[in-house]
Amino acid sequence: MDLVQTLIDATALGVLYALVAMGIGLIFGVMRLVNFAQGELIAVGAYTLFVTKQYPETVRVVAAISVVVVLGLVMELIYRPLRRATAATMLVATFAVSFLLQNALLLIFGPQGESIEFLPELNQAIGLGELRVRWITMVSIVLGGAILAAMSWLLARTSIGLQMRAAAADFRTAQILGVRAGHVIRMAFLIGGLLTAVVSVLLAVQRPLATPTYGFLVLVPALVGVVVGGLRRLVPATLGGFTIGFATVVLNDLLPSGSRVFLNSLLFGIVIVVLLVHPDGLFTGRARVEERV
Amino acid sequence: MSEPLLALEGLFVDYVGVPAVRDVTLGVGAGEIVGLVGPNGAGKSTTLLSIMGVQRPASGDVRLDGRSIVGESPDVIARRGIGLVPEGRHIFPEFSVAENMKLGTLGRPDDASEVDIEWVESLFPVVSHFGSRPAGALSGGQQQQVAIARALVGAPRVLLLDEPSLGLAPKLVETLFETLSVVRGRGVAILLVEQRARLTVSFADRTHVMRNGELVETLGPEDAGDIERMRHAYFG
Repeated sequence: MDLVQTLIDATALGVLYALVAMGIGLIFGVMRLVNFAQGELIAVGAYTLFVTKQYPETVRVVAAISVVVVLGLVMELIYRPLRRATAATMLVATFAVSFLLQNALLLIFGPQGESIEFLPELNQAIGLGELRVRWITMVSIVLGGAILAAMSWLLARTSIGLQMRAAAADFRTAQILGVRAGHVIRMAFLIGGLLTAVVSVLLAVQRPLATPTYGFLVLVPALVGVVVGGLRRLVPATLGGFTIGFATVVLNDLLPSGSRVFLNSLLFGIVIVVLLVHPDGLFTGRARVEERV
Repeated sequence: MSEPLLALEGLFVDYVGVPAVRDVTLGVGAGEIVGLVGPNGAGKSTTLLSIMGVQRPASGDVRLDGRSIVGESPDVIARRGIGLVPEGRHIFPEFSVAENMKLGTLGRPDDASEVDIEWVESLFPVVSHFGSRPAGALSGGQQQQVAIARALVGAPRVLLLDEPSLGLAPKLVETLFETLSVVRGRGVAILLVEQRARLTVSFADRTHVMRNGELVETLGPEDAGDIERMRHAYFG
């Protein structure tokens, strides 16, 4: 039963990281840009939930999602002139935006953190036989799973999905065929913003103290997952995010309580070994590395 | 005399400051096939890429139907009615043939009549026979057909082809050129970049020879047998 309990918790965290990873992968696919400021979008969502405390929960959720999505689109405007810049320039630009937002949050809200107080009752556990599963764990798995399934459908079955996959695989050829570059990039930021907003809301229930580094602490492991899975293709990147979240919980459970402080060291040690063996990513077949989504 | 459908005038294109195309002026009318041949590195592909908006000209003009398209992005130029079959095909190997075709329709000009998919399928049966198959699983010749069919479903008024016969067996090359004749019959202007100089000269209405970025000679079908003239045009 302990094992099942661990697997359920691991799946819930895996799904959260998979959503973040998918957002990172979508934007990287069409722009070759790792948006480090994605973490600050999560933090801004959490702070939006904090400042709207006095409103009904639905209003707070809509406000958080709207603010995160709009900020994501503003980021696209900031990065737009850099579309043809070198990878290093774009990377530095995303760091700049990330630190700017982090410090803005620090200035506005201070370093001590703010209590979000968002749907705390979802942290209560219900008994399923011998299992004790928190509502938020079930919500994360069901909602996150549904969103990932919807995204798969969107990418595989719709025109915009096809255009995004084509732009990610070969941007120049896609443009020559008539794919509107600006539209596809804006869609990637829009969808990436939506995914990040959902993560922000789900996370706010489980980690109710918003700090300026709130999102960065989620972004880093998700980004590691993206690299482990395979940055150049969306499905492996998403699977990588899921794997890191899943492994974090499982390893945490396997380690003796006195050794849990070494969890991140162990996890990143494994990541290094994986990358040495599979430098293109764990889930990218050799013959399939050309397509990026 | 009215201007041809596609007109290049005094086109200069640089690659990191090095001139790749110098003072190129040519035109392709509706239903015409114009060849562009020359040694490797002559600037043929760069010319096509600059028409398509991928490579911005340093100076000069590219006009479609009398209207300049310089500075427009490739997707806008595609919707204006120019289709490019790039060198190396550039199909999406992991996408199905049908998905590749669907991408081709994105470049359809807004004012274009309904794309005659059946006509394209009759020219290239591979499109309907292997619609659900990953395009990368097809043979080289079939992939080339997919690349041309993909450009045609965009209903282009001007079709740019960059070495479409590369890597094809002689029989397939013959079929390919026959198909281009059919496409021309629909009024499509074709600018054909080729390495097979003699075949191109005999097939096209006129063929420009390009060397070191410049057009140095223009040949007609009647010159196809004049090996000495072609050699001189190629190597100076």
